[in-house]
Amino acid sequence: MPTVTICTDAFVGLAREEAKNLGMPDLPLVIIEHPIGGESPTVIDQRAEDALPQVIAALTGTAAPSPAHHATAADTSLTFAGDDEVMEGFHARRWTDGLPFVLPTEARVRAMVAGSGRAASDVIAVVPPRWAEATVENIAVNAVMAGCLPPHMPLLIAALQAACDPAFGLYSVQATTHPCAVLMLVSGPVVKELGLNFSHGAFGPGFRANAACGRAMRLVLINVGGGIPGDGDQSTHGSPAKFSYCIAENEAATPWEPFRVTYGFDSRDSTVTVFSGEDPHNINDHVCTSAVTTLTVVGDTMTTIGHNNAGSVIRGDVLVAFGPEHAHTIASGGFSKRDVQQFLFEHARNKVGKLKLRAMYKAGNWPDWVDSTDDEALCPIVGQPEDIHIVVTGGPGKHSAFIPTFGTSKSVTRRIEGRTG
Amino acid sequence: MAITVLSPLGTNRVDARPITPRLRTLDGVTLGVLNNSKPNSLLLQQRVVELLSKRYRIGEVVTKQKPSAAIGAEKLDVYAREVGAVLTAIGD
Repeated sequence: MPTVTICTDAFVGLAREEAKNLGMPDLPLVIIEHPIGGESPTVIDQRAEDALPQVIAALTGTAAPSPAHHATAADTSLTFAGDDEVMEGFHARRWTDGLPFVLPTEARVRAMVAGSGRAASDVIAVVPPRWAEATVENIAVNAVMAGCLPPHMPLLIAALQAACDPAFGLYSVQATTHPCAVLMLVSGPVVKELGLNFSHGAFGPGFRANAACGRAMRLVLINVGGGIPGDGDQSTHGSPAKFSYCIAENEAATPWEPFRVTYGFDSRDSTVTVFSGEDPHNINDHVCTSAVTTLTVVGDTMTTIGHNNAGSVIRGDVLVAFGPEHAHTIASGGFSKRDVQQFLFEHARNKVGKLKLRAMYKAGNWPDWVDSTDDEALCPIVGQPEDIHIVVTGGPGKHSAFIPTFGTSKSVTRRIEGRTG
Repeated sequence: MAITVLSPLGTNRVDARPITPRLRTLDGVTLGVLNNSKPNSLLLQQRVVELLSKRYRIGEVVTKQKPSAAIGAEKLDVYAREVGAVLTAIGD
């Protein structure tokens, strides 16, 4: 089918890479000035005039298609003059997150592979937007660079499998202008086995397992998936969460059933759940002493129209990470986890008239029962209560966190298989 | 001292293939407009079709709209049988 793709010039790199990575390097592009969103009809008319000759040439031209050629494997090893040259060479190739890293020598990588309990050549996933295979060895190289230990490998493998589940939509999560990162939420015995932090500073620095595992995921997304800022990652601002984003459930402080049990796993299982999360949005409430008042503050924080879930209602989900003190205030009021989800589903809503300020989010993404003709009607931020996920994490203090997501991505949970202790 | 390290890259194993031969003319062609719901994108594509229609006797125009740019189009095989060429778009 003769096809032509109009592309604003800010996206040419992504478009060419995507065409190449999907086996169509000669796919014609029509390049016009960026942007088109938010521009007047007059500007759009000009863009169309600019596109016209290119469209005609692309659909009726005589450019000879190049012959088919076959993919080739990248070099698997490289030799440098010394340690500093490795560091500078990797940075120059954009194979890092910009920080120093552990040199992935063969011995270190072999030890990391052994931690997985699998063969080095096992293919774990195909990672977009480069659509490259991630073998156990590929993951291990990036894990070494990130500062992981061999017992971290089963967690990394499960997390990458979850991120590459079609429901997660990793291509868009990687390539979007939105600042979403891949948030890993770990639940179960593996939390203590790996020394993952679940208390003070749950989202922050200071703990090797969280920092290194989250960083390893990011390096895999960059180096295997091609999520390089400005190329496969078109995020306008990026995010601090794109350095490392791995948290753990504070199960001892949870007044409800553990996170994994809510989703049908055995309490003896360990799981990792991936979310296409923005940075955490703080929820500060030092005053409320009842479940309803506390949850009202939480719901209000969730009800801003600048995040993607306000509008992309049906296809997304969100995470609320309660601090233990807020969780106990709420549970003491007799609220189960399901009650919390229902309350927030009913109260974290925006008026249709307010949502209309954001023209890109249309009623087609809203539940059928929301009257899109009534500006006073209320629209939730997700399609059902179950799409508001609840976890308890963090230390003492009257804070919780709301994590909006990409909006057209669903979180995915996988059991962590293999030895981690 | 020289040091050997392993590459952190994965391997894309998708074989490249040639694109479909181009058309001789757009006269009589049923034109597909595959739209990703980005703001102004459908307006842009419609304007291009209007301009094409001044130069060619375009046949029917069949528009297929995705609910979101982030979601892959469904039933493209069926769509491909309905149209003779496709105009799509990427970007903001």
